[in-house]
Amino acid sequence: MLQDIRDRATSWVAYIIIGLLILSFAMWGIQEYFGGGGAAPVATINGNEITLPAFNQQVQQRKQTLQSILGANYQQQYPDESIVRKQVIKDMVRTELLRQEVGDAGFRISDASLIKRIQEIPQFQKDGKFDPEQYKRILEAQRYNQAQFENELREQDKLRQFESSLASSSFIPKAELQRFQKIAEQTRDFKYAVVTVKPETITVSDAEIDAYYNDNKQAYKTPEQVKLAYVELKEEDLADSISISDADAEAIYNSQSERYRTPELRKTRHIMFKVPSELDADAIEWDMAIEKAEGMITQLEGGASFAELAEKNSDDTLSAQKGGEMGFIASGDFTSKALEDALFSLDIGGYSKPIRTEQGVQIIQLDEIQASEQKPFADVREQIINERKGQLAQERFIEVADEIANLLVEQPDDLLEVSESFDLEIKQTGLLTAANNDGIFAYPKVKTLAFSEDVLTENLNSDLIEVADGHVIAIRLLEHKPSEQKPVSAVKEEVKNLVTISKAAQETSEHGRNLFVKMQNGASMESIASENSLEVVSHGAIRRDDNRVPQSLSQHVFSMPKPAEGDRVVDGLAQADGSFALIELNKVTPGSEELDDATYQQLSQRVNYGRREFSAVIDAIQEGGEVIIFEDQVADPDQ
Amino acid sequence: MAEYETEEQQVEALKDWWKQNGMAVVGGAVLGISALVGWRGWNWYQEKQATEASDIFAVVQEAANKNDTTALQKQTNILRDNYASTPYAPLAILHQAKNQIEQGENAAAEESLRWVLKNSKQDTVQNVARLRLARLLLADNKVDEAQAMVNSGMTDAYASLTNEIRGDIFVAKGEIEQAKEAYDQAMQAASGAGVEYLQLKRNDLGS
Repeated sequence: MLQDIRDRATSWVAYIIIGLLILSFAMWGIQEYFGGGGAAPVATINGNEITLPAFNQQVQQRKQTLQSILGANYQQQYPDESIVRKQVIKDMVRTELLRQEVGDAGFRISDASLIKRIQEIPQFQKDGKFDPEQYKRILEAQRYNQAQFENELREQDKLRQFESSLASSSFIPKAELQRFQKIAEQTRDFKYAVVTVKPETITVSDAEIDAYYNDNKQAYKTPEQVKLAYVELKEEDLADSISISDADAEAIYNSQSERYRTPELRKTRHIMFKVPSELDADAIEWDMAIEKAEGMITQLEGGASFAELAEKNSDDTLSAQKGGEMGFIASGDFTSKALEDALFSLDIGGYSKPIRTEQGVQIIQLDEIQASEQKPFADVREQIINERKGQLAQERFIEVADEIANLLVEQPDDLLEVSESFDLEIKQTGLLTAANNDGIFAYPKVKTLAFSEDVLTENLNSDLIEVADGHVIAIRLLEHKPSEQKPVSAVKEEVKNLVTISKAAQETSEHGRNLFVKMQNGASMESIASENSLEVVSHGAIRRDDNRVPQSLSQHVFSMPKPAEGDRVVDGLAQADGSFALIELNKVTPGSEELDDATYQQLSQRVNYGRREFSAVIDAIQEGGEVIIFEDQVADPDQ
Repeated sequence: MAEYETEEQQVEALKDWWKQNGMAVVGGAVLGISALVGWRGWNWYQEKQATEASDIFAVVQEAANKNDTTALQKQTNILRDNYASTPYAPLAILHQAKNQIEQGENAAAEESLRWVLKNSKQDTVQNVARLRLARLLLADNKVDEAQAMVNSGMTDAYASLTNEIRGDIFVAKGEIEQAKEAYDQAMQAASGAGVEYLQLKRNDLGS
């Protein structure tokens, strides 16, 4: 059949087939045949996949951010990756859902607005102006491809349009704000008296102590403790023991001499006629710029000075002041290939034709060449030795770690063999509990293994644990102190104090409640206070944020029912310190209804439904979407 | 497929087939291609509308930030008149509604929100407009209309906000016990921040 097609390749059949193929590619684009495939996803959201590599990349980024914020506390707060991974997948799902919502709804970002956005990012600016070279360099350093980066920005901007417009268009009607002010600025007239705790009046019997101890035996145990022997291997220690002779270093220097050269630098001037980058490639502005540039060439041919022309005409005003000087340029510094090719084919003093670049039309002149130079061996000796040491240490580390790991299994009953074979010191820890984070217990993996069955019960060597890059540890048990019950005699004082406090609080509360009942039955607060030598506190009309009254008490008073005119409402409140407050509320006065413009603005910031509305929107999208998360993919691969 | 003895026969058969069906094939192809071109053209037009609307919307947002009522109104009108099928028209009008409220033009704001409710293609935006409309109607003492707003088709995701408005409606009617219950449900369904005012309203009714 194929042979037939080939034979008839000139016939009409072939034309039709080829025509159809061309059409189909033109219509759909070839890329659609190469999408997808590969590993199992971490989640699917309405059919869209979050792939494992994309997920892992986000996890790494999040970890780095957290580490830089939390520093040493990172290990404590995130003992293993699983918490980070769960947060990340949650956020990624949320973002994907929102992305689909705005995509389906038809949100779009124009090229012009994307360009403006990129040019406003300070990291891409040099001397306060957008610098395309810098933009490209930073993206490369972050291993971003430009199209991908710009696409992500677009997506972000769409989400931002949606989120910010919903959140910031939220409003509160004026009548509603008046109601808020009436409640928020409300004052209450009340008085209160506090029945305090008196532990000094409490006696506690031994029987009570025993009873409490027996009910709370768990609290009076010594923690389980282990003492460990361990060996550790660090790559940096291996590096110290490796020595590289000058002869070796020189051999490396000679074999890779091209690595140790300074680049050739070309001192360059330019004249630039800018063309706004959002314009189409065939816009009239391009022709105008080229015409201007041709004019420059004519003047140069007539003997004009490049520097003077640059100063008078170049749109790159910064360099224009210095006669168009751009400084020394190395190969690869220019984004434009045409510009680079031109520069590196010029002779000193020569200038280029007008060249179209991303920013406009440019003419360059070569002023001076600083030739590439071989750095002398003495200058790079140190660097070569260190690099080589690092290399060898890394190779050696991998080898040795591998051998140690094997030996730990082959000789599982002591660390001596490992210690002798690799000249590693056997170190010891003190007695450590699971709550301890000292020494090697700073590494959560070590801690987990220390209390594992193999180490604790079977008394075997642990596996080799990689606690950090280039750092491994193996442990075994020296001593195990199981958890023990402390006898009651050892904790008697401690228990007695606890029992005293709880009895005192109970008595106070009972006493307080009795007094409260008397008040409910009509007794006045003053008579109760004088009978029980309590102090009545009153500050008249109090706002809810008045700090003369303890906050928890004031909160309680402001949620009590309102008394009728001339009447009172009484209440009792058991407080956190064991004391009991008797309260009498006499009057509630609403805040003012008057709202001036300033207050109106300020209050509508304070009572803002925007955030809550947007978070409801996210929940709603989540409700309506089909989200599948594959927990086994989310789970930490090391655990 | 039938067997042919020689290649010549095969070619003959093909030619015959083409004579009979050639027109249909060509016609079908032309039809298919023009449908594709039409579809692509339609998509292109939609894209163009959306990106233009997006740029105008940026101006709306800026005007809203600066409280520039004239600019806000002008750009919003452009979006409503020429770009009503894009998601940007309803969002711009949400900004306009806020501006109208601040100018004390409650009736105009009500009309704006009703436009969003009717014209937005996003359920989410419709529901947000519904919540805002309910609050506005209540503030203007149109209690029954407000009630109808929050009774219609809101999902669980909006439970905290709808229950808060139901609580407000009960308070307006003087039904304090029901109001407490509605506020409590609103607190329970709330996912965290922004509930200061809700908590105040609830506490003010007494425990």
